[in-house]
Amino acid sequence: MVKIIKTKLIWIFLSILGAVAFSTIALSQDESINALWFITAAVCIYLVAYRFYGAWIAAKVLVLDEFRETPAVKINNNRDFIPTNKWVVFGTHFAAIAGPGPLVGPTLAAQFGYLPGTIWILVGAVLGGAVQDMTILFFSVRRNGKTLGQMAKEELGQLAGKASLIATFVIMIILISVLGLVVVNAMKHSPWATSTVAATIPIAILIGFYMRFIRPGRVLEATAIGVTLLLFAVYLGGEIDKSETLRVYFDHGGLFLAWSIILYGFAAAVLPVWMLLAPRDYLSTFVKLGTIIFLAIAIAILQPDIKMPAITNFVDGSGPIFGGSLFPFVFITIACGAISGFHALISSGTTPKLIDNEKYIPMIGYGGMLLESFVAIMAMVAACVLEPGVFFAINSPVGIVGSDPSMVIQTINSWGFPVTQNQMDQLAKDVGETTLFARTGGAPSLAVGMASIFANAFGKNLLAMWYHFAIMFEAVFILTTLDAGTRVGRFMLQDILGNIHPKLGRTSWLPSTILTSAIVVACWGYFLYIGVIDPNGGVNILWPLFGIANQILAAIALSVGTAILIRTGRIRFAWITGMPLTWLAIITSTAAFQKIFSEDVRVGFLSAANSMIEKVNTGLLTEEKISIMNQLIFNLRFDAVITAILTIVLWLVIFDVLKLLISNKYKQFEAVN
Amino acid sequence: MFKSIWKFIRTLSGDDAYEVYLNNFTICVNHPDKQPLSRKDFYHQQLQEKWNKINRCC
Repeated sequence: MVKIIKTKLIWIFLSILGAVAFSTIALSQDESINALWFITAAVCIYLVAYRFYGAWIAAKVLVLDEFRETPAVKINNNRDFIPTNKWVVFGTHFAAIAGPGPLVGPTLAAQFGYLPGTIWILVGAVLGGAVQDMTILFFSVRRNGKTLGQMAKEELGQLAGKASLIATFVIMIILISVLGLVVVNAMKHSPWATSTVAATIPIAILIGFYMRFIRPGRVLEATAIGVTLLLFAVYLGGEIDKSETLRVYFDHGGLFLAWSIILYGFAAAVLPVWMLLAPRDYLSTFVKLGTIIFLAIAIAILQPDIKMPAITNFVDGSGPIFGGSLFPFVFITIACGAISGFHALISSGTTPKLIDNEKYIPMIGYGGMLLESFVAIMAMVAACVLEPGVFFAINSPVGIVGSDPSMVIQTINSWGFPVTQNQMDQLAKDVGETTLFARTGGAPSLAVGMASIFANAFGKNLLAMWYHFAIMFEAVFILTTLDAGTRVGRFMLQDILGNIHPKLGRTSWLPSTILTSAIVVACWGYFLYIGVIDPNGGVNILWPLFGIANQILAAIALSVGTAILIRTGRIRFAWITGMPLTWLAIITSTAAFQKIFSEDVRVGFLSAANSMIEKVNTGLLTEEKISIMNQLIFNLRFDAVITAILTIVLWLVIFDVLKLLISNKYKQFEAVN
Repeated sequence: MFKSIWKFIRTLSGDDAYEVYLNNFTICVNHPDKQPLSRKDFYHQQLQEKWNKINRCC
């Protein structure tokens, strides 16, 4: 009895603490606010949501059965179906879902101020993302580990199955290109960053050989060696940067770096997994985990102040980082961290084959997403501890603020964010870079934020080391996503081409491997190339496109979840997936409509293309500029078509759900009579 | 205490995957004609299995 009262009191206390912390963030009128409030609010909200909403869905809606055999136990073939320790499943699931997305999205969305993004990360994860991950995981477990595509086909029909395949492929291509762009922007004319990132490739190959031939499968010792070498590479990069003779080899413009990444991506997709992909993944997983834990500790010790205002003037859509107003673009910019359709691919097909008891589904599905959301909150904190002036100076592309430093400073000051040129020069010098202006893509500003938190907590004179460590950390697992994504794209393509010619479908046939890898790399390489030549930085176009694609995939996953709930007689609970589905349908459709038809050239693809045509027709441009313009015009129209196709596909799937809903209502009506 | 933490870290990182496999093999297969894979082959098979599907996202 006493114990029950005690637990009740603890939950009441957590709820109140969460509410207080959240209202402190939301209602703060002060100049600055302590970052600890963000962590407190997030942790309390996650705990309460997990204990009450997550557990309620698990018990009442899904009705988990701990005595029912899971596919892993039933099939147990010691290959892909393996009953696995719940913490291992949690670890592999989390490592799979949490990539660079939750770090980049919040950083970009910080242009609206800290509040909109933070609310969406918390509310979106608790009511949307975590629900999606858990329900899809559960339904896949109950269907012997079927993939999202298979479930969509069975529950909603051919079209939905195809739709999820198309959305998956599109989102993969856009994701890889935008991540490639983030890395390119971080390495542009930075010998230190470029040499460090380049060094990660031979290090990964070395570890690959070690684990394959010298000490097979010894993950921990190999990773320890690898991480030590990575840290040494960060130090070595600094020495290369200081050497006048060596630094020229690593001082490159965007186009050269883009081509290097395209070549690298092709090599990584064709080489055997043990050589590059698998060892790199081990390294990036450990570095990622270590850095995130480190960041959480540093924030807890240091309790830095948030300097970004709660809401900026850019909610009207005039923001420099990407065009578009608060609604719907904050919900598009932050996909991973709040709700991400990509997770549904991991939650079906991959993780369900490992779970050895249904009772662990809330922890893995709901809990895994909450942890990713927490990573997004920390990224938001790291972006917002910077002086807003510094934040905007780093993240504003040349196309908006110009390339002349004094002009940049003047423009940013005119927005009401004080920053001086001395301040930027000093900061660049402190982090060991020549300049930090127009380093778009989110990675550099996140690195500056993280470096300043780390440096203040663990040693101030090491700012340059921390900065390049953070860049290396982001690059390492962005490149892992790039390798893995290219490979998955290749498999999907081989699957499709197998219908045309069976030999092309064989993943072990080298000519098919080379052909399909080349096609996939060409697809994302195209968008990466356009992103690099675009004076507006590319992120302005690519990130919203990625967000729309990812949210549409989430909407398809939620449609599948809703359909299954309706079909299995749980229509009165269909709102748990129906509610986030409705919201996603609204925001993706609004965003897609604005991206295609908006009059604002920074938002609408078509109006941007038209304004470029006008510029070309004036005849004042040089030959070279006209050629770039023509490529950009084609790309903008192409993007409009992709956006339109994805949106139409989504609505066709939603109509399938509605049809099911109506026919089901009708059936119930018949049953009553 | 230290031992159990170390064991947890090994399990979580997949360092003891081969031992787990051998253990499973003796319990589940237990057939005189069937030999378990060597450490090297097991690692190779495990990687192939892991990387032929979507297991990394954004």
